[in-house]
Amino acid sequence: MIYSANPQVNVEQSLSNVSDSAEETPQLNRIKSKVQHKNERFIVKDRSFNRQYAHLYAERLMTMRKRLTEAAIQKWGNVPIKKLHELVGGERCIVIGTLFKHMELRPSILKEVSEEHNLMPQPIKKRYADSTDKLIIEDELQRIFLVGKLETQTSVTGVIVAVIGIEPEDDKGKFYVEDVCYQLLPAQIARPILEQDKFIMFVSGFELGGPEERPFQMQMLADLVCGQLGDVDQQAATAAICHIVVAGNLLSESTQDRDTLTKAKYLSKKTSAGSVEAVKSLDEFLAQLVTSVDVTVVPGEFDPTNFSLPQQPFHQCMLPQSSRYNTLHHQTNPCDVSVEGIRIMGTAGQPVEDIYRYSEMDDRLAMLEDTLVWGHMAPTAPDTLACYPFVKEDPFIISECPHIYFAGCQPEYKCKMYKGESGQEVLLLTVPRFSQSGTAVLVNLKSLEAQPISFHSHFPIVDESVSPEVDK
Amino acid sequence: MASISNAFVQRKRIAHKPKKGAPSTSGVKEEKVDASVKRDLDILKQFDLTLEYGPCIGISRLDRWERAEKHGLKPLPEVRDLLIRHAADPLYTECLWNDFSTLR
Repeated sequence: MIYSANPQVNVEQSLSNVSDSAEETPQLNRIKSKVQHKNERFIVKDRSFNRQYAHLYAERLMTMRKRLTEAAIQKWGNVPIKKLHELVGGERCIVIGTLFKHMELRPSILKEVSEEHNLMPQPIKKRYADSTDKLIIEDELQRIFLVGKLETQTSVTGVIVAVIGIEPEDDKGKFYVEDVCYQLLPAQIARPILEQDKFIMFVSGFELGGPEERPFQMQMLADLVCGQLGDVDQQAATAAICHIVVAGNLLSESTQDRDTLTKAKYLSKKTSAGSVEAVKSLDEFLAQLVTSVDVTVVPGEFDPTNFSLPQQPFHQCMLPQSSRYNTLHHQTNPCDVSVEGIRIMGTAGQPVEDIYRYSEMDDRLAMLEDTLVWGHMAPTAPDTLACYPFVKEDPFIISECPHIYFAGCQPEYKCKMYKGESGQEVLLLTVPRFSQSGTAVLVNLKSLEAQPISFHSHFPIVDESVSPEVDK
Repeated sequence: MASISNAFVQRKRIAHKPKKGAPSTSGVKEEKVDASVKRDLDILKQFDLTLEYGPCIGISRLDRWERAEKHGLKPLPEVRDLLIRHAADPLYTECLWNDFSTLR
């Protein structure tokens, strides 16, 4: 008998039901885990879009200023902290503000409009960083150019920083930075000590309904988790998986066909959306998993929910079979959940992807680490990343330090143990796209060690271009 | 009949139009009331123009006051009293630029 937290549906399926001779195989029980959702702040209640984003930036700066003041004093001691309008030429001081990266290559609607004026059309690029980019710091009132020791290549818009330096008398309008300081990472709740090994599985990017979906490997994953694969030892090991986090892009980009928007109704009337079939197979897949283990579903960029961050949870009606089980946890993106007292935060990868586009960094794990150091999960929102216009709070600020911090839908698996200054230990994790790599990640909650687990099938590739028939 | 002009009804907003035929008992008293209203509105205007409290368009003055208070910027308690006393009057509760609908 398999245990879920509090099954609404009575699950009568044995883990080891592969073998018919039940007396030989031992009864394996799924390890239980306690799941708590901590994502209230990401649930958008009133959908009012008639406000400006200025409030979000103001809120972010006001909230982070306190933390940066503390960090700056700790780092540099008794140097005056000034607002930009109080700057005196030639005096060394600390300035706290929001970074803005001025980028020539950044796509802009105004430049597109200016096509009419016979200007060069904008180049189509994957990344917009350039050597001519400039950094600007702004507070509530003013902005000033930054030069000196602050790397433009690795900085992005929207980060709150404290800089120490001088605005020289002979070069007004520029702030010469000596050193930079980010927030102090908030304190971490001590990790509970577990008596036994418990595993949590991270997987992302199934991309159902697309050309790259891998149904066979997905079935292997489901079978492995449910104890239908491997020998008794293997099954005993997989019984220790207490939770699965599916981090984004369950459906493929190609399910989002926009034909219905552009085509005439009589042409598209009889075609059904590509996402319908994909959601059905997703439901069937999840239904296998939830009968046996807790599953957290985090929507991603191409999933059928809203586009702007925070993405709201999937509606229950979309997954009718699997939603009957209370072991299916619909989460927001970014997600924030606590399993056995281990705080897990992360996104489906859009913030990291956006930083990749607007900086010259290549290491996804380093970007993820940076967002933790900056204390903000999605600094480029709302500038280049779509985001709801929050007013009362900035929910992306990391106000409690997680134990596991992940980004889904990344090109490769990487992990790193980040150690904070006051003893925080955070496991950073980039979860690869399953459709590309066939890889999931297992994390041991007891030791916070991560290991990849790959599913491969070796079928001979049939070359369809060569006809098996002889010439006629 | 549906047409494009009644699908998007345009309504001009007029900034605090003085009511016609308002009871005027005594000219002196009215002047006094006007003066105090003007002083109140001046205080609120100054509050709106204090940039440290953040942007003001799109949220009510009370929300803005509470945000400033939350972040320890010590906004004038007088402003809050005024806003609560005149909670039903958009001239008090909404910010200075409220009538410029294109700004929002």
